[in-house]
Formats: sequence, structure tokens, C-alpha cells
Amino acid sequence: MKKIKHILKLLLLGDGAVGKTSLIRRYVENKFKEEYSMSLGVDFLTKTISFIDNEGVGREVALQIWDIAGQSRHVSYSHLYLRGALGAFYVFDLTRKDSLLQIQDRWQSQVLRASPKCLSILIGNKADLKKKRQLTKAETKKISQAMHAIDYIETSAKTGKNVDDAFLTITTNILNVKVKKHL
Amino acid sequence: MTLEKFKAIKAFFVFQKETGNTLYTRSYETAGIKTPDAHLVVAFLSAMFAFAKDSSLSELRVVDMTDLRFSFIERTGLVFAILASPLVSPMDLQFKLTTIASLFLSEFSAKFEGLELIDTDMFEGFDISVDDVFLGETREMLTSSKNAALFYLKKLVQQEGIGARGAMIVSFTGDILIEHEMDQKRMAGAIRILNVSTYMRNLRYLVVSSEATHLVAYKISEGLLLYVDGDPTSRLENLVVKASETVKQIKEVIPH
Repeated sequence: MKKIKHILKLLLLGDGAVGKTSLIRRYVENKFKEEYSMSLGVDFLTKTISFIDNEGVGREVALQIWDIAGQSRHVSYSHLYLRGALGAFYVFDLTRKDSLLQIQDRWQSQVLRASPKCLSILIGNKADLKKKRQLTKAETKKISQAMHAIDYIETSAKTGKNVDDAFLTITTNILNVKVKKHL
Repeated sequence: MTLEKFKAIKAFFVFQKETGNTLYTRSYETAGIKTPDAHLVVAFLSAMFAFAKDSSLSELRVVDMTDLRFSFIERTGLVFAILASPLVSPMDLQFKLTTIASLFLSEFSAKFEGLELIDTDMFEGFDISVDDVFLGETREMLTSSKNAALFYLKKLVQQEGIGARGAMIVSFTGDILIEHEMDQKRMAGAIRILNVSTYMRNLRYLVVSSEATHLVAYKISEGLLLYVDGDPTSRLENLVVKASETVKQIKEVIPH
């Protein structure tokens, strides 16, 4: 069978403590750590996924997933790690309204300067903390549309809810393919 | 050496942990100041790693000496090390090291995987990224902006009744970008305290008051701080208010 290999650079951005590192750990290692430790600087992990698309073509995709520290103040060189990105997750915490407010100004504008063709998904994380939720779906969808994000997805790095789906959605949208079978 | 010639980052190295082979070095020392010998530094850091391993200090990340601060991280068998002034916050150094290590590995790891002998010429183009990370903030401040900002620093220090003895603008890297009438000794100790504190989120300003000084650190932007050294016999409140006004004026003239 014909097989195509791809390498995609993805970014996770958002304020500190919204769960970016936890989402990556859940996706790459299927692990979750309860205690918070602040990320220092910019780090990346890789994961390879394979699937067969709707036209029967086998795809092997190496995802290079960049974890951008929420406290990142060094905007003068952010172009170095943002450039070349094909997809970005803008992550906020569903229990902290303030974490959604700055996403466009603080993060999306930087990414679009460095990688203008980058596709994006807005992620509302910590969906498991239902009682502490501060945002309705309607509010978040509205912002997602204003950002021209291809999707809005609510995830939980703790339970794993929708984490794989989010990565698969952005991958298939970048490749512009539909999945027939996820291997 | 004047304060303006002070360089926070002295040198950067990448070497293989097991063999001690140096893959990449970049020095920022200015002419006339002794440049650190890469081989000596790598030998020192290799020994330090061995010591840390034997002493159960595997989390060792920063080593302070009298005039130097070593900070290092390990990634996939490579050690990334910075030789810096002890005035630079350890957190800032770790932040930059993690970032530069990620950039280095994403660019080169696939190229030298499995190679026994690595041709160090392949890293030549990496200088641009390294300089952007270590000198980015400094470079962003254009000469015209510098002159305008210096004007406001002078105005602040010359103002009567607030007791401002000196002022300077420092980047979060620890580089002193502009200074006017600063006392070096008094500032050196204060920066050490303040650098760590500036990592508190949403911090606008911070004050350190002692018998020798009233020191005010005011955030100009995410990358810059204004430091004002005040006479301890003057009223601190006045100094803070005037520092705040100066920050507003500086924000108008520099990129942030």
C-alpha cells in the first residue's frame, strides 16, 4: 500500500497553569500529574501517528509538539520557536475566565506574525471541573469564531477526554484529509 | 568596565556529556576582557556533572562562583551551558537554556544521529538563533529610543525632593541597557533580590528599603525594568510615584 510520511510542527500556547504541558503528556505518554510545576522556556516532544485516509492512502505523521511556557516574556525572540508551525492549540482554563481573554492579543498575534498560514484550534481545558466552570459554550464558541479557529474543543488532560481527538483534528485539517482507519 | 558595557551572558556552550566533546561555543565577552576558554569550561562542567551524579545532586542546575554563574541543562546526552554574571536570575538562565536546547535539537539532532564524528561546521548558522535569544531585548532598543529614555532617566535623577540618586533600565536577561549615575556596588546586591521577584505574575513594581538605599524596581514591559536608587532619608512614596511617571514616559519612546 502507498504510504506518505509527514512531519508537522504544532504549538500549544496559552497562559500559565492552563494545562498545556499536561495535555502533551496525556497525548504523548498517556500520563497525568496532579501537582503543578511551571514550565521553564520552550520544550518539544514528538509522537508519530499512522492512519489510512478516506482514499485508502496510508499516512505516517511525525508530530513535533512545542510546549510554549505560559510565562514566556521573551517576545523578542519568539519568532525562533513559532516559525514553521502548521498548527496551533490556543489553550485556556475553563475555570479561569481571564485565561481566555488574552489569547488573541497575547498569543495568536505572535503566531500569525511568525507563521501566517498556521491553522488553529481553541481548547478549553479542565472540562472535568464542571462545578468550577466560569465560561459557557456559547461564550467560548464566539471567541473561537472571532479567532477563525477551525474548531473549539473542550478537553481534560486529567481524564483524557477529547485529547486524542484534538490532535487528530488538527493533523487531518492540516493535511486536508479524512480518516478512514486510525492505526 | 562601565555599567553600559556590562554583559550579562558571557558565553554559551554545547558539549557531549559522555565524551566532553565541544560541539558549539559562542562568546560575548568584549575586547580587552579575558574570554573564557571553552575547553576549560567544558572540563569543569564535565567534572561538575560527575560530582553531582556521585553526590546525588542530579537536579543541580546552577553553580555560583564569585564573579560567575554557571547554569546548565542536559538533553539527550548533550549539555547546554551558560556562563553568566551572577546578577542574572537562575530562572531566566534556565528559561533561555531550555529554549535554546529545544531549538538546537529540533534543528540538528536528526542530522547527527548515529554519527561518530560530528562536523561542528554544521552548527555555524546557529549563531543567529543564539544571538536572538541572548541579545534580543538589547537589540530591540534602538539608539534613538535609548537617547530618549536616557533623557527621562536624567530628568528623574535631577528632580528635587524625591532623593533619586541614580536610575537604569535593565532587561530581564540582566543586561543593563541604559544607566545614569548608578552606584554599582549598591545595585549588584539589589538586582539579585529583585530579579527573582520579577517572576511573580502581574507584578508592577517592587521596593527594597534598607539603611543604605530605597530601591524601586518598576516594570516597563515584559522585557524591561526600571531601577531607581533612592536616598533612604527621603520619602519612599514620592520616589515610587515619580518612578511610575517615568515609566509611563519611557513606554512612549521605546518598543515594548
